[in-house]
This record gives sequence, structure tokens and C-alpha cells, in this order.
Amino acid sequence: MKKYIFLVIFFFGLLSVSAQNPRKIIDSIQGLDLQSLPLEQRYKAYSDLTWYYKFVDIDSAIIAGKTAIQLAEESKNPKFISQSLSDYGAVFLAKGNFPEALSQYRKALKIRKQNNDSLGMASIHSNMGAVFERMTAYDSSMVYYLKALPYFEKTKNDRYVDYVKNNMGVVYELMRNFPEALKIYKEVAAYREKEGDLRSIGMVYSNLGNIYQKTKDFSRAERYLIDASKLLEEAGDNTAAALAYHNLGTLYNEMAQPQKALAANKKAVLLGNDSNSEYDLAMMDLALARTYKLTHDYQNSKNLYLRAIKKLNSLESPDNLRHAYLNIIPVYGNLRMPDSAEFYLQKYIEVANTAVEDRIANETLELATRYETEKKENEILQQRAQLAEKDLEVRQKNTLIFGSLGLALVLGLIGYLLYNQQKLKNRQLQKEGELKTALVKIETQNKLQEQRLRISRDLHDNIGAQLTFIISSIDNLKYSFSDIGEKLGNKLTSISNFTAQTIYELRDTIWAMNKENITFEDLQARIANFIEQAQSASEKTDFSFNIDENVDASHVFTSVEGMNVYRIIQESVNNSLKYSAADEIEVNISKANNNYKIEVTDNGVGFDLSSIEMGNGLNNMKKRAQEIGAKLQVKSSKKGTAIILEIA
Amino acid sequence: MATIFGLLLFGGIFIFLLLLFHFINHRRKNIHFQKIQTLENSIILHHNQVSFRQSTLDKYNFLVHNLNEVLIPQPEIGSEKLQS
Repeated sequence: MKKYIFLVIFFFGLLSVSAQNPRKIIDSIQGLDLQSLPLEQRYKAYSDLTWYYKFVDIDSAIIAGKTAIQLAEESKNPKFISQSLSDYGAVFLAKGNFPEALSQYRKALKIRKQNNDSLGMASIHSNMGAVFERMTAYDSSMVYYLKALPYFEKTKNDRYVDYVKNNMGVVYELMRNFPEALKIYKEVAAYREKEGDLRSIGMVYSNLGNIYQKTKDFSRAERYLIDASKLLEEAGDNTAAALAYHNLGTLYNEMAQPQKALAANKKAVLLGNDSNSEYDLAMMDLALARTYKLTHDYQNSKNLYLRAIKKLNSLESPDNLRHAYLNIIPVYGNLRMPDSAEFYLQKYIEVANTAVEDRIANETLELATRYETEKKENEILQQRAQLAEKDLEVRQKNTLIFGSLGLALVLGLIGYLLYNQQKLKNRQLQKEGELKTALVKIETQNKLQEQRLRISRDLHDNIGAQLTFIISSIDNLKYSFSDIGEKLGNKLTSISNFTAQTIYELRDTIWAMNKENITFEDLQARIANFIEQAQSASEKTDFSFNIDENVDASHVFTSVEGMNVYRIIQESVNNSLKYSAADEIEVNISKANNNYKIEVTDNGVGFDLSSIEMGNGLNNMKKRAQEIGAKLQVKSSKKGTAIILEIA
Repeated sequence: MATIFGLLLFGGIFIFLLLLFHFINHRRKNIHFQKIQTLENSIILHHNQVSFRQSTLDKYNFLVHNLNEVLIPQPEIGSEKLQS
């Protein structure tokens, strides 16, 4: 036979009401003119009403809860909305409507997650743990408690740590892990004894009693449960005290002490009237009914079973209902009411079948869900594979693009560097070429100069010396032989003079060859020197040398020009001296129309240009003029002769 | 990871090429500088020789002096072969 033992579960906010009277608080709130309050204060008032009505009137709590939710939504404050949903869930938990409680808690949790409200989330997790525990889903319950505990430990909230641990102990107990449950309860009891809160101590004592009962340590179980009942009663928490008495009654039943069990269960039902939990009341009725049955008081047993069945019918608790049906059948049997026994037997079978059908439906649904889940997982895997393939393609494309770009940049850089290098090479080669050309030019110039000087030296030293030897030999010949005739003597003198003239010309050639340029000033000096020599040679003749002011003294002639001009002047003066019998000879240099005009004039006898045969002297002058691109004019009359040379 | 590796590789190649061409050009400039110096020295030598000889010739009076006085032999000037 199933034993109903109440375990004391805490959920947050439960204890805060312990020190106050819910009814008084409700009355004080209702005394206010709620409609005249601002929205926020009105919400808070209804929120408080929801919470406190939960302890005295569940239906009123539900109405107040709905209003609180509506006001919170109007305020658009997420904290208010999540709190009102949590309170509403707590109302359904108190009522024993666990699915609805869970639904409200989940809504509240979603909002708190969105707002990163860590404390609020931990509270909801803890409350959801309590709901799952009541739904006998112990694994889920433990999961939620373990989600809540680390946050409270981290924030050193010892009171909440204590509550969560106590509830975890309850779950361990329900999971029949008694050593672990006992360990946790003792930790909780030690903390609460230190704190000195009678109600809390009573509750944990009640749980410890249950554990000892289950481990068959009845004496300790009895001691703890009695202490728990007294402490809770003393603390004024009739509901909790009723549960403790109920557990004590269950213990006595197990200890085969029906009278003590009856007393404890009666006390439980008496105190439990204050409870608002239909579930708890139903459980206490069932326990008392069982005790009555054991004491053969079938009438009372039947009444209590029927009351419990009525309550259980309104709750979604098929397991408990099935057990109630099963237990009432022998009661009716003992009361000799077979029809009723038959009726409840049929009810039992119906509920049992429903339970089986529900189980099958649940299993089928679970299988279908699992199939759908796997199918979706496969689809997700395929989508992930496709995404991965696309990602790989994109990566390959990117690699190709960036690789090509990089390669192009590198090639561009190489091209640029090569271009720069080639430019530098060209510049260097050009400069080297220019310098090489200049070197070749100056080398050639140097060699040419050297060659010219060598030729000059040869001419001067060899030919000049030989010509001097000829003159010297002719002079010796003339003086050695006194009997030579006048004609031969004149001839020898002529040869000697010609040779001397050749030496002068040779020297002039050498001079011209080694002089690149000659200034007008230089030429003027040489002409003056020549005139001076001529004057000293022929004292009867007057020589004059005139230069116009407009003649530029810094003008430069080439050495060939200078030499030929000088030679023409020299030849003209010599001819005048030899043939004209002039007593005046003039050399004039002037400048007209950018041309230099050189005139050699005498006042001699002159000659007839048409009748005279051109000698070597005049021909040489013409050749020299042609050589330098100058114009030569010869004018002669009985009053004298003029040789005019015009050069640019 | 691959992107970082690619960037490092690209940067490495870039820097390597820049350094390589820098050193090649630097070496080329040094060689060129030496060549230019040799050529310029030769030109200056020839130029000095020609100028010196010409200035002496300009001062020389052929009618008075012997040419040997101006024709100073200068064996240091020759057709020096340049290294290329």
C-alpha cells in the first residue's frame, strides 16, 4: 500500500509571509482605493494581493494574478511582467496545477533571460525545480536546482543556498538516494539551528524524520517528526505543521501503532484546513482514511476517501486517484456495499486503462518526436554540409582572387624595378659613352698636337739646317773664288737670297702650323716689325703703317689667314722696293662693311698690267688670297701701284 | 591562419624583391662611379697636357728659339686602355 509522506519544499517568497498574517495584509490592501492609484502602484498592490491570496484563497489569487499581469503589460516594464508571471505560476503551484505553473514560469524565465536578470533567472530555476519535483520528474527537478545553486553560492546568498539545498535533499530522497539526502538535510539543519528560525528548523526536521523512516530508523524518525510538528505549530504555520503531523501519522501506521497514527492524522487534517493546496488536503484525507481503515472505522474511512476522491478529480493527479479508488473498494466491501465496490472497481480499471493509454500515447508521441528530431537533425546536418561546401567555395574563390592580385602586384613590382634598373643602366651607359667620346677626342687632339710638333721639329732642325748650310756654302764659294764673273756672282747671290727666303717661309709655315689662332694685335706687331726692318734696309724710302680707329684689335684670325695676309703684305712691299723706285710706301688697314681692307701703295713708276707677264710674286699673292677666301686687286699707273686685299 | 600566412608570404616576397634590386643597383652604381672616375681622370690628364703644351707654344717665338725647347716629351700620356 502506498504511503503518502509529505516532504517540505520551499519556494521563494514562501517564507517571507510566515511572520505576517496574509489575511490582515489583504484587508489593508483592499482598504485602499486601488482605481485611483497610479499604474505602477496599482500593479504592486495587485501583485501583493496575488501573493497573499495564495495562502488563503486560490481563486482570488488567480483573479488578482490576472489583473497584475494585465497592469504589468500596460506598464511595459519587463521586470513587472516577469514578476507577475512568476507570482501567477506560484499560485498554480500552490493549487497543484503543475503544467500551468510550469507554463507561467517559462514565460517569466524567457523575459528575464532577454533582460539578463541573473537573480530573477536563478529564482525561476529554483521554482521550476519545485514544480518538476511535484510532477515526479526528479531528473528535471535536479537539473533546475543545479542551475540555480551556483548563482546563489557565487553571490553568497546563504539563505537561498539553504532553500535550494533543502529542496535538492528532497529530490535525492524521492530518488531514493537516502545517504546523499541525509547529508544535505544535516547541513541545512545545522545552518537553520544557527539562524534560530523555528519554522525552518521544523521543516528540515520533518524531512530528516522522513529519511529516518525510510531507512527504518523509526525511533529517530519519530523524534524528528514530533519535534518538527511542535516547532511548526509553535511557529504558527499550521499548513506545514499539518504536513509534519501527516508524516508522523504515516510513520505510526508503519510502526503498527494505529491509535497514535489516528491521533496524528486527525491533528493533520485539523490543522490542514488552513491549507489552500487541494493536493495536500487530499493527501491528508487519504492518510486519515487509511488509518481509519486500519482501525476498522470503515464509515469514516469511506467518507474521507470520497472527500479525497472529489478533490483529486479536480486535480490532474491520476496516480493518486487510482490509488484512492483501489483503497476505497475494500472499505465498501467491509461496509457490505458491493455495488459501490463494483462501481469503484470499474473506476479504478478506467483510470488504470487511461493511465496505460496515456503512457502508450506518451511513448508514441515520444517516438514520433524522436523521429522528427532525428529527421530535423539530419536536415540540419545536410544544411551544415552545404553551408560548409559553399563556404569552402567562397574561400577558394577569395584565395584565387587575392592570390591573383598578389601575383599581379609582385609582377608589377618586378616590372617597375626592372624598368628602373634599365633606366639607370641607360643613363650610366650614356654618360660613359659621352665621356669615352670626349676622351677619344682629347686623345686625338693630343696625338695630333704631338705629331704636328714632331713634324715642325723635323722641318726646323733638318730642312732648316740644310738650307742654312746651302747659304753658308754659297757665301763661301763667292769669297773663295775671286775670279768669278759678275753674272755668276749675281746668280749665286740670287740663289742665296732665295734660300734665305725659303728658310723664312719654312719658319712661317711651322709657326702657322703650331699656332691655332692669331689676334689682329699679334699680326699688327709682326707687320710693324717687318716695316721697321724694311726701313732700316732702304733708308731712301719712307714707310708708313696706318690702322683705322674702327678696326677691332681683339679680332682673331686663323693662323693660315694671318700668315697669308702677312705674306701678301711682305711680297707687295718687296715688289715696290725692287721695281717701283718709289720714295714712299704706305700700308693701310681699315674696316668697311665687316670686311678688313688692307692696302699697300707706292708712288713709284708703276707698270702696265696688260703688257707685263705675271711673275711668281703676283701669282703667289693671288693663290694665297684664294686660299683664305679673300679678294685681291692690283691697280697700277704711272703715278704708282696699289695692292688691295679684302678679307671677311 | 591561411590569410595571415598569405599576407606574410606576400610581404616577404615584396620586401625581398625591393632589397634585391636595391643591392643590385647599388653595386651597379659603384662600378659605374669607378668607370666614370677613370675616364674623367684620363680626360683631365690629356686636357692638362694639351693646355700646357699649347700655353708653351703660345709663348714661344719660332724666329728666336729652337723648337726643342717647347717640345717637352711627356711619356705619361699614352693611349691608355680603359677597363670596361
